[in-house]
Amino acid sequence: MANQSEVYEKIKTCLVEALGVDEEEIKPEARIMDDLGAESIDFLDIVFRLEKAFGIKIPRGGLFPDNILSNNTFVKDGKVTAQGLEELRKRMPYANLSAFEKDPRVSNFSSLFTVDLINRYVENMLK
Amino acid sequence: MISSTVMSRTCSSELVAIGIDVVEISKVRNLLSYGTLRVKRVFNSVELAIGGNDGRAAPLRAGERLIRRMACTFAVKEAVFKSLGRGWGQGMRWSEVCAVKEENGRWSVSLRGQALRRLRALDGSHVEACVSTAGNHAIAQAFIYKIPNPNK
Repeated sequence: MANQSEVYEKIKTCLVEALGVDEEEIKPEARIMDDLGAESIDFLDIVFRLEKAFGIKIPRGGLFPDNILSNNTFVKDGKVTAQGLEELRKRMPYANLSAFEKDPRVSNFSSLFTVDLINRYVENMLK
Repeated sequence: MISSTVMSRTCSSELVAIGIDVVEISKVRNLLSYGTLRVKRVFNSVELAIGGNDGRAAPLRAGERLIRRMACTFAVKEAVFKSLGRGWGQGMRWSEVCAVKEENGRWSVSLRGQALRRLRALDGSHVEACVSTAGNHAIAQAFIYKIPNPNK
């Protein structure tokens, strides 16, 4: 099994190739959309590359939960509700939600998707 | 939300919402290179069949024309999501929007699942789309219409 450093390096390669960014831009805290410029089609590419690189199957919504923001129970007045946050904790046990919990505006949701989040997810899958 | 009466083929229909998307054809070419199993997460069997693929062979082999066609299809799906007020990651699947270019050049769009429920929630009756390509880009615009109730 690959060690943590090897996992990170492979993820880095996937992101560089999928997003056409420089290696130096891939930092744990880099946000996939806001900092690295990913669009929806890029997320597919990232998922497919990770699956091939690590020999894993990432289920739909596995890495990037896809129906939190469309649920009226989970979003009210432009903010993710306490119930929504609870759902996120369940669906994304690998994510660090502490910053988002302090300011759970929907507009901040994309900030959750960082290089570090992908790294944690893949490490979790490989356990 | 946009609300205006449009004079077009659907002159008795009322425009409810619009959406637009641009996609890089090279990114779709890359997507298709992952093989049919993965491609089927994005394109449904109808789209793949009409695109000239039998659902078994890797779509990449079908050539540039098909790749451009599939890029247009992807752009329509994304434009439809936007017209529905839902972007990526907001509960809808790409496979819920079926976009097919008909022989007369018009795009036929059909919805199911969450996408269809969202259309109904917007009081929409049907979706139309138009597409164009230039260089490495496919651009699509989607229009949601409703048929006005003559009794109102």
